[in-house]
Amino acid sequence: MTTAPVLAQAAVLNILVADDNPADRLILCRLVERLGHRVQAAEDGAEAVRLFVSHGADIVLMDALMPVMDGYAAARDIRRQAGEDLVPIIFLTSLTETDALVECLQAGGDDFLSKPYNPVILQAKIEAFRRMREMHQTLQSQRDLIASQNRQLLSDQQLAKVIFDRVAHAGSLDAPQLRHLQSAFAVFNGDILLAARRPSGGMHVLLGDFTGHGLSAAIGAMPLAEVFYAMSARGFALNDILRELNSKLGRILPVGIFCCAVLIEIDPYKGLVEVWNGGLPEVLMIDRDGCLLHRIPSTHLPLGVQSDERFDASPLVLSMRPGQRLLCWTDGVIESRNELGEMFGEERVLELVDSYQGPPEQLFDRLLEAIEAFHGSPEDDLSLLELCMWSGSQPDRGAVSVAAADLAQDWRQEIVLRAPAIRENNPVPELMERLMAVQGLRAHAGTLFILLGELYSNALEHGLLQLDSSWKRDADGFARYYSERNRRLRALSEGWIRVELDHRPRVDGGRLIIRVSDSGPGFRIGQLTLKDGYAGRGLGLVQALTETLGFNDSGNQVTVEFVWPLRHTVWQVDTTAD
Amino acid sequence: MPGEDSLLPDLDPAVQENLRELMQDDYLLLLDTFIIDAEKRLGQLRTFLASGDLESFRRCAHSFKGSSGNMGALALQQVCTLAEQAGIHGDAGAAGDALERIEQCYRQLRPQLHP
Amino acid sequence: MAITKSLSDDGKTLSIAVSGRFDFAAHQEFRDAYERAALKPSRYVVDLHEAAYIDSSALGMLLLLRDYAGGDSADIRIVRCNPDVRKVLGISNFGQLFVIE
Repeated sequence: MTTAPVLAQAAVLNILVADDNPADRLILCRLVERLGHRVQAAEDGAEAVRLFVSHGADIVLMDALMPVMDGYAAARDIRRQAGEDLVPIIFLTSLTETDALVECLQAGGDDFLSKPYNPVILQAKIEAFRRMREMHQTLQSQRDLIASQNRQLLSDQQLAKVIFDRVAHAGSLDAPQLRHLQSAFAVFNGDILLAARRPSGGMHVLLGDFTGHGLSAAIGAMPLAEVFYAMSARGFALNDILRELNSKLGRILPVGIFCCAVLIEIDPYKGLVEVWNGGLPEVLMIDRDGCLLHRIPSTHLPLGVQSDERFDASPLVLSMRPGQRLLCWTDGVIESRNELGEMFGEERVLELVDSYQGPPEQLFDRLLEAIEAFHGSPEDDLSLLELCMWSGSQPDRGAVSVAAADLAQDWRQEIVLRAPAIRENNPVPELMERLMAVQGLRAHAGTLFILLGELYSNALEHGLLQLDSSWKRDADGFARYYSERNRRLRALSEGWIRVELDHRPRVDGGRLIIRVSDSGPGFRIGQLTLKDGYAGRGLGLVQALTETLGFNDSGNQVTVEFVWPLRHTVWQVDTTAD
Repeated sequence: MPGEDSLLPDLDPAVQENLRELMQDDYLLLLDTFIIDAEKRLGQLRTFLASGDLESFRRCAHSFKGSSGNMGALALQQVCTLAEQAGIHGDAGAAGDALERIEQCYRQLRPQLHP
Repeated sequence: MAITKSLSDDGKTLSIAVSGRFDFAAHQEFRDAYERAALKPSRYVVDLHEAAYIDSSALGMLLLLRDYAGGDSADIRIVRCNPDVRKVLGISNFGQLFVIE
């Protein structure tokens, strides 16, 4: 037998030898030392455990039969001490009976070394276990690294969730006309629900479902909410908001992340809603008696997918009367699964709506119950929204606090929009901003918004587009009116609309003149009475809100005068009747 | 007296050579350690047998078997095995026989343990 | 979930077939299927015949493919969809971006 070579490479191991026979112990220790390792020697099990506790060991060579504490018990103790670290224990044994060998393994032994000691075999085993230990340690540190990175990720997600909650669920969700449900799980699964009051007293609502959960939803939700609220507050129309949302999300989100959404504009004064559905299940309109009136399916690509040029922002316009309801939801309702893996499905929702007999205001609750009964706890996004139309009345007068007469606010501004601008833009929000520079007008923002809006849309729809408001007497006519409006607007190639704003301060407040003219042929005063159909309702409202209202001879120019008084008392806010 | 154990050498010279080479200057120490332990064990075996503690007898024989093997004392290792078996089976008679043979093997071996 | 691809004889059309669940787990493999092609084909066919289930992350993957293949000028057909898959594609109106058969 030749000398076993001392290993050139690798670290020196700390090896614990426990053998009650002194000659054997001596031989084994020397063999281990010759392999280049450090050795500790114990003569019984108890001493072995003591040495392990105080000095540790990388590998343990343990005699099975020892006095005081035998090898099995010592091995168990050492295992316990080692915890999750890997300490290979090699039993030294002349035992050949299978039972005894099995007992060695059960006691936590990893291998055997039989006596008499064979140096070659000893070296091979030590090497093998050294590799195993290294692998184990690598695994441990990788696992620890992963665990700590995971904790970091979780903490990032927690933060994103907090931000998301603040952004995505702010707004006017507590408005009395809205009922909504979001399951706890949905709150951070990418569902977003926003509601904003418009200056006119109407409302915008957005229900959205981002692809991906967690961070990508949070990241998308913020610009979405900011744009939505900012533009709604300034009175932008739904299609303007949609274009901006689509554009912004398209720019910010990576390809492949998008937001399925339903956007709704509610206008209680005109008794209509505009619904845009890009990627969510059908929106249902339900009558006062619970009967299904309309199903509005998704006809648009979700937000953030289509390029600016090809994006279709046109919503469907429907008339809606007080007491009628809109019902919309995200995929979670459709995709809720029960134990059998069956989906709740769209059919079940429709069936439920169709067969429902009870009071309409409880349909929402029944639907919720049905979903919950179907599968107990929701595991997916689950957002359900119900909107009930209310009757619009005069807008808030607002509170007027003490305001000094602002003599510098003596100005006139005129803007002329030509066909391309008319097709793309609605100037009302910008004009509103100009007006809000007059402090005394701020309390009347709602009124002014309605005035500008009415006068502009009159000029556009009746003046330039030559639409006949008598079409809007019934639901079909309504749809026809708006689709025709869109078509003619897209095709508009000539014409202009001029808006003049002229504000002069007075001793007791101020006077604002708004004049809107268009290049259309106008109408004969006699043709139009102020009580006639929609246009009549609109102009009737305008007349009620202003001091004077007048038309020129050709009927393509209307001038209104709005006076705001300086008061030293605070007015009560008019509540909108429901 | 001659039996299977006479077929086995008292001491395997190859093992001794390796041990010399392994222990170097401590070879003598090893021999002394073995001798001291062996004589202690002989005493213990006698005591355990006399008191009828065959379990301890067995353990002692087992350990002696191991060290004999490591030393290359093959004949001694063989008879220790017999003693161990006797202890396992609780056979005091066989244990006694085995112990005699152990003593004889050792007497034969002892003079051969020198540097 | 398994993804297989094949290139037409003239090398102009790459077909990618997805079987099983077409969801987020398929992300890397699906990308590799078209990104690793030696020559860039001019047409793509996504065969969903064996795809039992498709979710929004799969829609995202299709958008990535479309972006890779030229965006608005990409020529991608999605074929052999079962009714469930067709429904998902329908609700998202992906027929406006892809040819769906």
